[in-house]
Amino acid sequence: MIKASAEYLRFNTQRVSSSSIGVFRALYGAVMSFSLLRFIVSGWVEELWVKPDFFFKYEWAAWMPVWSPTGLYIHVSLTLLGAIGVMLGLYFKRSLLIFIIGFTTLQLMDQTNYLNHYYLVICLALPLMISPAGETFSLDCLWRGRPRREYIERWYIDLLRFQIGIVYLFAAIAKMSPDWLLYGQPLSIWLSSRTDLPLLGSIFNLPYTGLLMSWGGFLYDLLIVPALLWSQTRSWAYGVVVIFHGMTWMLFDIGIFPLLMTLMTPIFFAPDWPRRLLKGQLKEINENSLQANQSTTTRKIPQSMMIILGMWCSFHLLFPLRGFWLDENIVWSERGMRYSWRVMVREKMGSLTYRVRSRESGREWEVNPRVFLQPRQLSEMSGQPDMIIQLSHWVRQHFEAKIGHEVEVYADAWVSLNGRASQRLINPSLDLTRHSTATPGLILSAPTSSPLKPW
Amino acid sequence: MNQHNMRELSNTKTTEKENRRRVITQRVVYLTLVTVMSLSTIGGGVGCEESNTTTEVEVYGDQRAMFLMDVRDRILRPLLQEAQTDAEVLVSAIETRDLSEARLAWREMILSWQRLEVLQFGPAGGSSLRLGGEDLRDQIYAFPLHNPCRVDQELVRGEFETDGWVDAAPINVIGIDAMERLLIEDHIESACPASAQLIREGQWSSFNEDASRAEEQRWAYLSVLAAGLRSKLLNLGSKWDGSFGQAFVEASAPFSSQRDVIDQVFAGIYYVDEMVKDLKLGAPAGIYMTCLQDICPEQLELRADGLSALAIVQNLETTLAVFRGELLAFDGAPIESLSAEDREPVGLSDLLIAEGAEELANSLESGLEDALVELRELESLKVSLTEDLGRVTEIHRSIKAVSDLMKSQMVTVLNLSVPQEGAGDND
Repeated sequence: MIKASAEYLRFNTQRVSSSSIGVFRALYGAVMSFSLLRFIVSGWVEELWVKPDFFFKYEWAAWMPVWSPTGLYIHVSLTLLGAIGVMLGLYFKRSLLIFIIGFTTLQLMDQTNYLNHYYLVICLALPLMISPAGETFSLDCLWRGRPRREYIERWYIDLLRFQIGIVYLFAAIAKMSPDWLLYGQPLSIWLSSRTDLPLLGSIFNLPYTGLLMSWGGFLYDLLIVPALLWSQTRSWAYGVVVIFHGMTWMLFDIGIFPLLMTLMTPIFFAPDWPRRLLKGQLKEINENSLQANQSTTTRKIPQSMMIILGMWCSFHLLFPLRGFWLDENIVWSERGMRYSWRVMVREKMGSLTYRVRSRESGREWEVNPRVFLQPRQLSEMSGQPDMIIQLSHWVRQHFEAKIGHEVEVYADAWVSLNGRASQRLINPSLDLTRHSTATPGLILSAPTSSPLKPW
Repeated sequence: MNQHNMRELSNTKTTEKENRRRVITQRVVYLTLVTVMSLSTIGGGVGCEESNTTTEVEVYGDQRAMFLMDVRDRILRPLLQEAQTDAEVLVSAIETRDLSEARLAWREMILSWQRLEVLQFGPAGGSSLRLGGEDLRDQIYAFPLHNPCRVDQELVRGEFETDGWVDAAPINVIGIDAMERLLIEDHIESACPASAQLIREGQWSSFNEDASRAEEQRWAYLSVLAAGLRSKLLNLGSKWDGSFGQAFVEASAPFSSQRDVIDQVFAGIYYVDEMVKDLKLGAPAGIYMTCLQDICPEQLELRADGLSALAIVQNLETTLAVFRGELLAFDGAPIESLSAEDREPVGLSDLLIAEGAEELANSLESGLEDALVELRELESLKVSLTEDLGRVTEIHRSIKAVSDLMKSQMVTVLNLSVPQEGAGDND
């Protein structure tokens, strides 16, 4: 075991071609430039941050302000410039820093905009930041005369592989649920709304397609990383990646996720793949024998870096598992749902009405949250207890200012999960303004019935 | 054979064995990958072999298309034809200057329109809210933005006969609601507050000094509005009879998929939540947040002659029709379908049943039917607010139950989008 570990560490300090990490950096920057450009061109800056009157804050980042429209456009434009800098490898580290601060703070402005793939984009920043990804295929080398690095330590690449690998690993774990594996839900629901697609549409309507494709998706998430790691299956596996993400792009509104994953996955190829591609030499050399062809100089990972990397990797391996410590259905309660790669495992919609009661007279009013929110915010928050609580405080402020005395705020929140009959999500007899977070007593038990069975 | 050769042979055999094992392993891996790929991408192919229900597939596949066809041909177009006829009658009645005839015709018109109110998608829908939206509904009926005071101002100003006025005027002085102010409501008292310029500067009282001139001006204003209404309804009808109606059933541009079109229909019947439950019932009954007093009769949709309850009945009947795929009756007279197909209608309920949610379909239909029964028993919503508020609250509760189901389970089962969800991605 000790021998194997020593061998592993030796192997990981081995120097390999830097070309793949250079291409990774350029593609990462390109995808994010495209994404940010889309924010501006599609009017999403307006929709997501200018139009709303109310923003859902992360409890730990409530300080994050939302700028004026001009400020927002400046913010997004600077972030875009950062992404372009990353893509071109121009002032790489500074560009990456600008991009990642800009992008992260944009995400912190409103919790409703949380997406797993945006979290992935943020997570990839640290491995890139500490890597020499800007020292090859970059304008820093071409224009600014920075020395070009032909070879880098292998662990830089492995760290990026790890970061992408855990997305698949935890996505597979999240799919190990009766809804996904026994009932094919929510995939069956999603597929049955796309029956108008040519050729595939008629297949989607067949009774067991959803279930079969759910198993396919689960096996894909589970096996794709080992298949990509093993040189014998790598090319095939990448073919599957392209087809899989092509399908998800066609079927679901998941934006840049398919593009991001398809373009980031080549990091699993032998590190010199871009150079071989340029030379038209496609056959991979056994990675274990790379040493013979490339620099044999090894450099130990510094102790401090080892500690940082250990902490980083442990965090990413353990934090997504926090939901398993809670004795509850995470998909229902949403506690531990974010940052844990539970991708595409729920179709959940709620109908929410607040009941505001005057403490003075006992008079009650109904409040439709839509008057305070944009439709997208409403759609996201109506099934998420922490957001329902957050808005209840705003509703209280609004009413108290309007009627001049104290009120209590209750919620009638009916939620349907994966096609099940709607069920109350929140205890309707608790005054939400007395709570700041969603606690188990406030969230009612998850449904025990089966999800919608489409066959 | 010497020992060396034997060892060599043994080594060769071992290498062969290893090679064979490697080849077998490779094949197993390839096979696994191919299986995963097949399952994850064309997994339905296996189902295809297992299923021998080709006809069922076709029926299933066409069901959503049939639903859209029925919304167009069995519900929307027949209702539009009715409304166009009612608009003709209204124009004629106003031309004859017969007040009772005109009031009767307006009553028919508003009830007819209330049935179309729920179908605010396509050209009737808001241009920034609906695919293919052209704001035609707002030009026909402005609720909840109606403004009787503004109508009085336009009446006194008298500029409505100038060319292009209807196209340029604000929506709350040109629609059926403006006609209510001119035709049904009290003509002596202005709807404006005393602080308004119209009253403060005596324009209203001087306008009413010459009663016959004021009356003539009122009829002239009504004529302009009725003609405008007729033309907008014809315009709306021609769009549904023409290319938009075709795009709607074929899910072609401006729609990108059948799901887009069904989302638009859902956005239409969302009216039951936003308008019917909250504004038409909840607000006057003091349940909804816009009413801070005990009750707010002034927030009733139609105040003049107790049509508010009947208007909600029409809204719910159309909603029920969307669930059933056909209109059953309108004021006792059956509406003829414009569908060329001789088959059973397909409604939202059928789509829900096809997804395995029969119980939900039944709950939604029976919830709507119950609310309709209770509403039909109300003689006047205005009177009930003061005399039988509990009954109004009960009706509100029934409609809320339907709306809760629509917004939660129905949305998940049919994978619908909340109206105007628009921007952003999901994962």
